[in-house]
Amino acid sequence: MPIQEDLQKIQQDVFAKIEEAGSSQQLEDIRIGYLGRKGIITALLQTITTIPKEERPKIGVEINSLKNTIQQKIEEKLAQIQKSEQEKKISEEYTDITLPGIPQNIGHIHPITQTMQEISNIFIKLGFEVREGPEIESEYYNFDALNFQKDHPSRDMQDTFFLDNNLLLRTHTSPVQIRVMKSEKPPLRIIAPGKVYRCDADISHSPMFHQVEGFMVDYDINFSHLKGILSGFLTQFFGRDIKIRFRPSYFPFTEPSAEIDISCILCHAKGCRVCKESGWIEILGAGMIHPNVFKAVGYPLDTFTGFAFGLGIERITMLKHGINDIRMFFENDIRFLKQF
Amino acid sequence: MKITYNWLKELVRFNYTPHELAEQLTMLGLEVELVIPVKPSFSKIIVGKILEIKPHPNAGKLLICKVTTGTEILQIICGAHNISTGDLVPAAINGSMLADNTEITVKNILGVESFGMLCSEKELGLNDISNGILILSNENTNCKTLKIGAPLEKELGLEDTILDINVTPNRPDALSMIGIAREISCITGNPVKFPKIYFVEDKAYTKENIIVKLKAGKLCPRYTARVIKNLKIKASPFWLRYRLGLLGLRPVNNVVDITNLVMLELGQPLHAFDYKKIENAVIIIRQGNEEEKILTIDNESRILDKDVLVIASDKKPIAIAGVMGGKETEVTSNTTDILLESAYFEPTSIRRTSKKYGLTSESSYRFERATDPQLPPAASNRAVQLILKTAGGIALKGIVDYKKDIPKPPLIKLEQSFCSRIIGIDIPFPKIESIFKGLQCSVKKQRNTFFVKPPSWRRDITNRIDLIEEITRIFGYIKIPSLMPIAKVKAPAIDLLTKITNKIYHLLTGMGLNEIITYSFINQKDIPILNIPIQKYTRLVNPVDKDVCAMRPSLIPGIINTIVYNFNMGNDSVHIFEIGRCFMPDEKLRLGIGISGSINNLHWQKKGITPDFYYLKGIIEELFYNLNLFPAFSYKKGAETFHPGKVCKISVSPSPDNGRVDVGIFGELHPQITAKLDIKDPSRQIYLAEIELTSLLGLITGKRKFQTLSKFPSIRRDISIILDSKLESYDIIRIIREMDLDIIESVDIFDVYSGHPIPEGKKSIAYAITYRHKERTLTDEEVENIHSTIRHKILEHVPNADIRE
Repeated sequence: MPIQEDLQKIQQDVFAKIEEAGSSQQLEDIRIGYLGRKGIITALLQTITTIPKEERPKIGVEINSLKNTIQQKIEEKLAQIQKSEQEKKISEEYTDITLPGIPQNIGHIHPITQTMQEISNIFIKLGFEVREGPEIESEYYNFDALNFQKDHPSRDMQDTFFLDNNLLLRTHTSPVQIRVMKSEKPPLRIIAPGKVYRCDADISHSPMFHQVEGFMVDYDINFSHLKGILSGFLTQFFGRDIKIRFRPSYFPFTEPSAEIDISCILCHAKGCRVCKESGWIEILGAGMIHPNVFKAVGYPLDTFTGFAFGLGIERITMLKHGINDIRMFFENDIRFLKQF
Repeated sequence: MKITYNWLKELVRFNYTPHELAEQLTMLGLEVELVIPVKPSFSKIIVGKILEIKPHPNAGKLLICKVTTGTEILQIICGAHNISTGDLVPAAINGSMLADNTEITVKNILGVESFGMLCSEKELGLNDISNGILILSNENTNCKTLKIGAPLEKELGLEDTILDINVTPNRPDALSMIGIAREISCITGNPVKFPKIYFVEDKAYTKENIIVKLKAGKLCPRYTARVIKNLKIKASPFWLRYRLGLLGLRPVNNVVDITNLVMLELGQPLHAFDYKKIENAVIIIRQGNEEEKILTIDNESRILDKDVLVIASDKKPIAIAGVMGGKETEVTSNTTDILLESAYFEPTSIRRTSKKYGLTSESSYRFERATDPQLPPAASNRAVQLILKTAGGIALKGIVDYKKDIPKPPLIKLEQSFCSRIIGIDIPFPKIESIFKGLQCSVKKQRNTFFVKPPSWRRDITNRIDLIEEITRIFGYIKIPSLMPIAKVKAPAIDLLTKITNKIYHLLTGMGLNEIITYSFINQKDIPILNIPIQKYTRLVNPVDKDVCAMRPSLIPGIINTIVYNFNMGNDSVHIFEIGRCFMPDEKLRLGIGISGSINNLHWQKKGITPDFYYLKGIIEELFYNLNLFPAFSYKKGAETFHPGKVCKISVSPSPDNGRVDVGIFGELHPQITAKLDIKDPSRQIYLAEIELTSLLGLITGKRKFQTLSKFPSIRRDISIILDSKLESYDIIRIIREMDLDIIESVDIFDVYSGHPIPEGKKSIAYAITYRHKERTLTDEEVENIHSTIRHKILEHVPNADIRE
């Protein structure tokens, strides 16, 4: 049975070769050498006519079986080789991770806008709504309706820019109180951010700056509510570890009036230049809306009560980020803007 | 306003340290802004007594003194001659330090040993000019007894603390030492120690020596006058000068200093006239006349008018009432007789006058805030007492006191329920009553109601809300609980503006633009950049800087200036936007965009992008698409701010078919304007856009219709067309669009080229058309058919077009 011996020999040889193969190319060479058109197995199949007829089927089956086995062995080995070849390739790949990534060109919202949005959002969660008013105002909305008496020194509290059309630039956002109350009835919970103007300028004052005004009016809003809402706001904005102090003050449009200080966040109330060694920083002006204001907007006598407050945005933004010159906000140096 | 700790202690008893006092006052609404310790800069100088004086044997100008320090007797050589035996003097001894840090040691002066030094005020750092040895007499120190050998600063009370208080405009009553003492009295319960006033009067009557006529009606409800004769004007004693100096007042002479001292002590401004210079001894309080002038003591000649209240003799004005005295009747070293004015003037009149002349004095500051109308006689008497003590002289008998309609304190009704409604808690009835009494209000009770009459100095308390503030303030804000209100839920109003602006912030920052905020003013120098007629500007009447004199009608100048600022700071890439109001003269909210300089220029892998016209156009398109608006662009002529060949008008509509509304402009800043900017490279290109947001609001619907997504593959076919340079790329797209073919998904331009081999005057544009059917897979054949129809259509409609295959 020379053919069967041959087959055995071939099988031994090819298995050994497959086992030894180290690359997919060598395997391909083996495949071509045995199974290709001029391969050994192909040639064997062609010699089948030379064997006796009765043995042909058996031999044919054996050859085909060997062919399939070789095929299978090659594929198994190929998968194995490809895997190790890929592993080798991957293990040799290297990236200099210190090279910079491609910069994404992202713009920044101005820190003043960010602070205003943050404040507005805290109050929006408390059910406040945002309103705006004009920056050019009349004496009536900016002063008279807010209980600033004519020829009274309280008008000196706010250095006013006057315009050639007998109007003025609002010195505070409080005129929005009048505008809203004249057109809407309580209950009111309003927040009004915006630009205001005063004619002085130095390192801590700018002729233009930003305020957020807020007020709440209903049948029975009282001073303890003012304290509650504003303490809640300050804790949200500055964090739980600050101390809050309400002390009496004066604004013509509120009574009782208060100024609200927080413990200095720069020196942790130990006393520094920013808090003038007092440990406290003034943050908010507030008070119960003066009955004369309700009278000016035409609300019936003794029906509603409410509180109002206002705060300067530049100041708290400076505090929050340790900015020491208010003018930086309006110079708009890109290097400054990109920090926020 | 400044107060001193030591002085306050004389007026009311309390146990606070200076810092505790500051805290107490602050919590009463009298915010202490600064606490300034005062400490003399000398050390180890004691009170000595001169026992003997004899001339120096070897120097005629020097004296040898024997001075006792209580424990020893020292020989001290002295150059000043204003000393006498028995005088108490400041003695510097071995080891003492003068104000200028000179250490005193034992010295031999021309053969005689000196064991110390007698000091002048200058050497003690208490005065700028040298005026001999400081003699520690009763008159000079206002101290009854001084302990020999004791430290000088302790004996004279030179160590003190100044508290600087921010007194709000409603509290003129607190603009004095006594006012602050009243507040402390209110919280401690300790009474105010009002100074005891006593002096001897002459037999001659004041009223026989002066005639006062009130001729200004309501402007002067009260005027008192006193006359003091035969006094001696000189420098004030040391204690008086020191006290005024601590509170920031410059000493003048004894009479003027006393009027100032009494003003600081009691809050009543006083004025002393040289009595002999008042013609005919007549004082008329009247309004000024148009032709009148007065030379005030600051040597300014001031023109009067009928709005100015004046004090006049029967010939001419001698003072601007409540603001400043006249030069002619000023108290000088030659004055021997004075007329002392103590009055109540109507606040608004004083304020108007003070504003008119731009003249604020300690007097006008108090009068315009309203002084106590009951105070003038008492304050006058207090001043007379002190003048007699420091300047001698005789006070004529009685005070001339003219009054007419003095403001009276109101009677205010306050229900306890109203009080609780405002404060939020029930403050006990007796507590409220004791607060009112502490404030020296007169109080009557009726069931749950108070009837309160405030004291004459509390002119700010006029109605019940003022009383509530007083109750809350004295009770203590700290004791009121912090509570959250119970509030009704209300449907919020639709706030489209905030919604849109927030969306714009996100879109533009996402596209790499930084938000800026510039001043709403415009600088004179920037006006030529804008082609806006001058009469459209809203002008400031009182600008801080005369060049910054109008409100901005556009965001463009602010954006250009920001770009220039950044270039000069070395920031090469400036991509910015601003949302702000412009004034034309109506307020309009606008969006401005400025783009200049490449981005990512220095990256190793990705090449930088140099922005141009189309970069900005892309930003604007993307912005509007995301706001659900369709932008369209058209050529704009006569926009002088912009490059005439690179500018266009922006209009938008809520859908592609709707009518369009003009909303803005964009383009390149005119190169001739760029060339004039203060930048290193005048050939830079600056791209700008300005869009009005107010008119956009009405167009934004916020509704967005969903487009179904096709699941079938798309087929792309390109057309490359050579056409006349002047033709627009959109002409081709319009032709394709007008064919209204459903299967065309998009038409994109992927190449634009001119130059060799394209003939002169021509350009080549390559369009990619994407075909896709919603419900089935397209065949190559049907796409080819349509594509060739498009080709024909283009050749048919576009003159001189040529399709490159």
